[in-house]
Amino acid sequence: MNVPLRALSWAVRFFWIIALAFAVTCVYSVTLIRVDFGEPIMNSTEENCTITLPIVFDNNGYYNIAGLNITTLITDYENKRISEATTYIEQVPPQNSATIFHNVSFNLNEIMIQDHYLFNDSNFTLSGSIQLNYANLIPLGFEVNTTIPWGAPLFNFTTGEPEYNTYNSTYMRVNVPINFENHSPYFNVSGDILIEIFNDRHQLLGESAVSVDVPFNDMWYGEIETLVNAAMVTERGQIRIYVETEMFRYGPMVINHG
Amino acid sequence: MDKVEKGKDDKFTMRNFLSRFSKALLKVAIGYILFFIFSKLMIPLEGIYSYQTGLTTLIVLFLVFTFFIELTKGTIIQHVFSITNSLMIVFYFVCILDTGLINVTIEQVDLMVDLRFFLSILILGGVLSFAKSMLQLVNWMNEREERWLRYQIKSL
Repeated sequence: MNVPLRALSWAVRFFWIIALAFAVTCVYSVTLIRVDFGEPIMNSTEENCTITLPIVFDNNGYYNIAGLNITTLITDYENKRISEATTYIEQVPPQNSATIFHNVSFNLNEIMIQDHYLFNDSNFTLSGSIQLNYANLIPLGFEVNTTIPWGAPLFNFTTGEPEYNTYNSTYMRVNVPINFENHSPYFNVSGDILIEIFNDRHQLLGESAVSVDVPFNDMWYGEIETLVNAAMVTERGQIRIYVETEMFRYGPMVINHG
Repeated sequence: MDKVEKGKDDKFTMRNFLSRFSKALLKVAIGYILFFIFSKLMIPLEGIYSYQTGLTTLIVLFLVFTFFIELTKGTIIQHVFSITNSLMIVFYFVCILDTGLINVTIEQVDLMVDLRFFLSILILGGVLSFAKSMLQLVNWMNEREERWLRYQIKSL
């Protein structure tokens, strides 16, 4: 009985020594892990916008990081999912570092087709989570919720009353005052504003366009001049406004006048 | 067999007592130093996880038991202390198993640490210690009986 008992005693001792050593080194190791977030890189095509976030995991600890899972979820003001991205790294061995490029893609057109985002400042909610298994034994998870401000590119878009002036015996000059502010920090509003003028019989009287290039936080004010056939002008009518830029297309905005 | 013969010499003498006492003190000192190092390492996690209160009580009790186990070596009291000690460890880890899923918020970041698997391993260790203590007690009683029988045979 003595030999097995001694063996068992030693086994128990070893067990506790290993458990204690593991607990101590594990806590110490965690303090040696460094996570650095690099500058996000934004790539946008006609349809998609991809934000690449470089994350450097510097595992200076004694144990490996396994099953590293980075997930980001972007939702809009109505809590609808805009984008969800996941990056999975099988493991980061001890005394090693891993650079992860986490790509978040979303369809800009889907955002831009919603009038709300064109004319109103808003916020997107970004939920990020990192899950990992430390030392193959202790699951760890981090979660962060933050808001991404969205600036409306056509903030406070207003049109004034159209002014009709005689140009010559055949034509009249119509001036439509328009103003807006570009609140978007992500892009300039570069493109054209087109207007079409109709009479009350829905006949096109004239159309014209003006080029704009409005940087972030700038206000644009202008009068769009259109020559219309004086014979076809009626007391009441309709003005249709289109905005066509590199990033979005909007229109028609219908304004009844008279 | 050596142990059985040795058992005869487990008499209470001042020299024996002092030797056990110093051994017990040494074990307690080593235990305390280890706990001190562990506490120092846990400083960065202070405020995140309130491990201190329960763990300090456990360590104090563990060191007290270690002291008395060493002091009462060779008697049944040693085994009583040993069994109580291992049961206490199992009980402590079972009690804190629920708190093994730690959720804390540090500056907008929600941190979740799942220590339940690790705690389960420690419970297993406690059960192993308990089994060892029980077997030691059985062995001790067996040896005592053997000694008594041998004494009876000799006296015949």
